[in-house]
Amino acid sequence: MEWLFAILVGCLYSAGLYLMLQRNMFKLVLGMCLISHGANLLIFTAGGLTRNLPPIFSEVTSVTSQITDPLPQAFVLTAIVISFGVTAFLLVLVHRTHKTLNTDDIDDLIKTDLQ
Amino acid sequence: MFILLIVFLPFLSVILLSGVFSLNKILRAIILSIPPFLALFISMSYLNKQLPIFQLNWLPTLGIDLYFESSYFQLLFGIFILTIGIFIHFFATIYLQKDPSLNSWFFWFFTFMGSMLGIVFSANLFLLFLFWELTSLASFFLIGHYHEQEEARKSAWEALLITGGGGLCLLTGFIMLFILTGTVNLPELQDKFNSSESSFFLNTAVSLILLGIMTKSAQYPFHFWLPDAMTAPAPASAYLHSATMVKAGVFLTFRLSPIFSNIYLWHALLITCGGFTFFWGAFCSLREDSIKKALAYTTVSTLGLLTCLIGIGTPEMIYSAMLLLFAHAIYKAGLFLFAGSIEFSTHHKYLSKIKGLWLKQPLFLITALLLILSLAGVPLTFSFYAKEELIHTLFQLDSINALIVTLLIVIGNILLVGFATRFLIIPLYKNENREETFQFNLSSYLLITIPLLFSLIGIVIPLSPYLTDIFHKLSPELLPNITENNYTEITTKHNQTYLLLLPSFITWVAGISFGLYFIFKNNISKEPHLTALATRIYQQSINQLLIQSDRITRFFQNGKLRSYLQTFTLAVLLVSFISVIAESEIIQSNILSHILHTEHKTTTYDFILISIIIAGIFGVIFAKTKLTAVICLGLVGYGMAVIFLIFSAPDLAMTQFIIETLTVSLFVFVFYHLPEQHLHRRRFTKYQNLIICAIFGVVMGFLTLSASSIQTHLSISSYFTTKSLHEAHGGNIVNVILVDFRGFDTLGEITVLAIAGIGTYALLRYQRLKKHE
Repeated sequence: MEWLFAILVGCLYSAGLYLMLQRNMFKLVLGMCLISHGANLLIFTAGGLTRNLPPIFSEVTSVTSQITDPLPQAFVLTAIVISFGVTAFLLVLVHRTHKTLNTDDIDDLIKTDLQ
Repeated sequence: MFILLIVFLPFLSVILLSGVFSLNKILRAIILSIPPFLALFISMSYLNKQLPIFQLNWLPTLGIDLYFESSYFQLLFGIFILTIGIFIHFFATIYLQKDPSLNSWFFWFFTFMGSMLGIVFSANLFLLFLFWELTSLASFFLIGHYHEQEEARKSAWEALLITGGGGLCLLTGFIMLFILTGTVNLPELQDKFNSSESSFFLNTAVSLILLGIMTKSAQYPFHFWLPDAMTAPAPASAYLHSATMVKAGVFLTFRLSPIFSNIYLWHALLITCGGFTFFWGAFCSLREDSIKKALAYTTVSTLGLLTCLIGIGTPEMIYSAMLLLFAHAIYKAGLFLFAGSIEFSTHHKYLSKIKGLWLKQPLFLITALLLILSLAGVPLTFSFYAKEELIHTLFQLDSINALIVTLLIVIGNILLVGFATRFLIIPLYKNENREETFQFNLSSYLLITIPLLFSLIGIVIPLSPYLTDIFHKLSPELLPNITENNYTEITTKHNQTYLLLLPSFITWVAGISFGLYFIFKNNISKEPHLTALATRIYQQSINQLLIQSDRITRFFQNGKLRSYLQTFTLAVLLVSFISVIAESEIIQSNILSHILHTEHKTTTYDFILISIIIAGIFGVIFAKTKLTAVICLGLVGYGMAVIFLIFSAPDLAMTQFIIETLTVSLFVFVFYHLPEQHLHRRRFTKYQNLIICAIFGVVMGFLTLSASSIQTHLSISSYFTTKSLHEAHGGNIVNVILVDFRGFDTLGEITVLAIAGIGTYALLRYQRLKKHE
C-alpha cells in the first residue's frame, strides 16, 4: 500500500515544484498548496497506515493496541490549518501585487521600484 | 591584583565617561584622567619591586588564561604609555575643544590606552591577541575621527584591514604554536621551546607571527597605512602612530625574541625587512611636504631600525633597541603634538605653507629645535645617548652582518638628519607670497607647552643621574651573565665614547648637505614609486575583492524566485543522494522487508481514488483557465480528505473538507476578477524544470517509503493513548492531544492563524482605503 502513497507523494511534490517554477504568481500559490498536501501525506504515511481503527475510544475499542497512532494525525491537523493560513495570506498578497503592478509575472518583481 | 588594576583602570575611564557626559569639558577631562593617574601611581611605586603575577583560568581547554605578568621593561613601557597618554589626553581636550564628538574621542582613546596596557602586561598570547585586535579597532575609530571626510574613512579602513588582517595571521601563528607546544603562556613557552627543533610547521608559525608584527609596526611593504593614517587628529597620531600602537609589534618582538632566538628565519626576516624599512622610511621622509606624513615616514624608519636591531638579537643590541624605543617615544610624540599645534594655530599642514613661522614665534622655534635635535641624535639628548649606545655595541660585533647593518644605519641616519635640516630651515624662510599673519590665542600657547615639555624631557633625561639610572636598570635583566662589576664598567665606558663621535659627525655633515640639496631641488611631495606600488597593490586587491564578491552575490542573489528554488532543490537533491548512497544497503533491505511484510492489500477503490487525485494534479498543471485549475485543486484536496477517512483519521478528514472548501472559495473570490495572463518559460528552461521536478518527485517518494519503513526511536504515542481516557477524560485522542496534552502548541497555531488573518484583512482594507481616496 505504501508504494502507492509514495508515488502520490512524489507526484504532489514534483507537480508543486513545477508550478512554483512557473512565471505566474497564481501558479505559485497553487504549487504551494500541492506541496503542503504532499507534506501532510508524507507525515501521515510515515506514521503508519491502518484501516478502520480510528483513534477514538468507544465501547467496542477499549484496548489501546487496537487503534491507530494518533500523534501523526495531530501533527497533520495542525499542518492543514497552518497551511490554510499561509495560503490565504499568500493569495491576498498576490492579489494586491497584481492590482498594484498590473502583472502576474514573478520575474517582473526583481526590481523593487514601481515602474 | 595590582597588575590587573593597572590594565583595567583606563577602562574605568571609559565607564566613567557615561557619568560625566553633561559636565563641562575641562572638568570632564580632569575626572577622566584620574584612573590613568592612579594606574601610573601604582606602576611607579612598583617599578623597583616585583609586581606579583595575576593568573586566572578563563578557558583552560583552549589555553586562554587571564594571565598578567610584569618585568622591569614591561612596567617601564607601561609607565610610558600612561604618562604620554595623560599628556596627550589634555592636549586633545584643547585641540578638539570645538569638536562635537569629543565624547566618542574620549571613549576610544581610553579604550585604546587600556588595551595597549593589556598588550604590554599579558603573558598569555591569546589574551595578548585579544588586546592586540582591540587596539586595531580603537585605532580604526581614532583615525576615522573626522568621519565626514572621505579621506579619513578610507585611511581608517586601510589601517583596520591591514593591521586586522595581520592580526589574523598572528592568531594563526599563535594557534600553531599552541598545537606545537600545548601552551601559549609566555614563561612556560620559554621552557618548553628550547627543546623543540625547527621544522616547516614551526617556520610557518614564525612567519605568520612575523606578518602580524610587520603589519602592526608598519614595516615595508605594509608601511603605507601609517602615512595614510595621518588623516587622524594630531593627538591620535602622536599616541597611536608614534609612541604606542606601532610599538606593539616591536614590543611583541621583544617578548618573543628569547623564545625564537634559535630560529634562523626569525632573524633573517627581521633584519632584512627592518633594515630596508629603516632606509626607505627615512628616504621617503626627505621628499614629503606634509608635516605629519613626513613625521610618519620617520616613524616608519625608526620602527624598521628597532625591528632590525631585535633581529640581530644579541642582548646588547636588544638593550640599545629598548633605549631607542623610549627615546623615540618621547621625541616623536612631541613632534606629532608639535605638528598638531602648528595645524591648530595656522591651519596649515604643509611645510612649504608655514614659511616664516619660526621667526614670528620663538616658542615654536625652540620647541622645534629641541625636538629635531633629539630626532637627529645630537649630543646631550636622550636619543644621542641611545644611538651612541647602539653604535658602540655595533662596533663590538665582528661580522659581515654587523658591517652591513652599520652601513645601513649610517645611511639611514644621514637621511634622517637631512629631513631634520629641511624641517628646521624651510619655515625659516620669509613668507614672500602672501601677507599672512598667523593668529595665535591662548589655546595655541597652551598647546605648544605640551610638546615643549616633551622636548625638555628628552634633554633632561641624560643630564639627571636618577633618570639615567632608571634606564640602566634595563640591562641586568637582559644580560644575566655579567656581574655587577662588569656592569659598572660598561656604564662608565659609555661616558667615554665621545671618541666615536666621528661617525656621528660624518652623519651630520652629510645629512645637512643632503637636506639642503632637497630644499633647493624643490620637486618634493611626489610619492616614491615603491611606496606607491604597495599602495596600488593594496587598492587593487580591495577593489577586486569588492568586484568579485559583488559578482558572486549577483549570481546567487539575482532576485529570481526560479533560480533560488532551483539552487535550493539541487542542494537538497545532492545531500539526499549522498546519504542514500552512503547507507543504500540498510535502506534497501528495510524497504523490501517492509513492503513484503505489511498485510494491507491494495484494493481497487484505492487505485481509483489515487488515480483521481493524480488526474487532479495533472489538471492543475495543464488547466487553461484559472477556474479549471482551482476546481482541479479542489479535487486533489477532497481526494486527500477521502484518504484520511479511509485510513482511520476522521478528524483529519473533517478538517480537510472544511479547509479545502474555504481555500477553493477564497481562490475563486480573489482571482475571479483578475484577467488571465499566459506566461511561458523558454523551451530550454521548461525542460530543465521538468527534469529537476521529476528527480525531486522520485526522491520525495523514496523518502516516503523509507520514512514509513524505518523506525529509529520508540514511538511516544503510547503515552497519549494510555493517559487520554483516564487522566484527560477524552475519548477522541487526537482532540485530546490538540487541546490538552499539547494545548500550548494549539495556542501558538491559533496565534499564527490570527496574524495571517489580520495580515489578510489589512491587505484587503488598504486597497479599499486607496479606492476611497
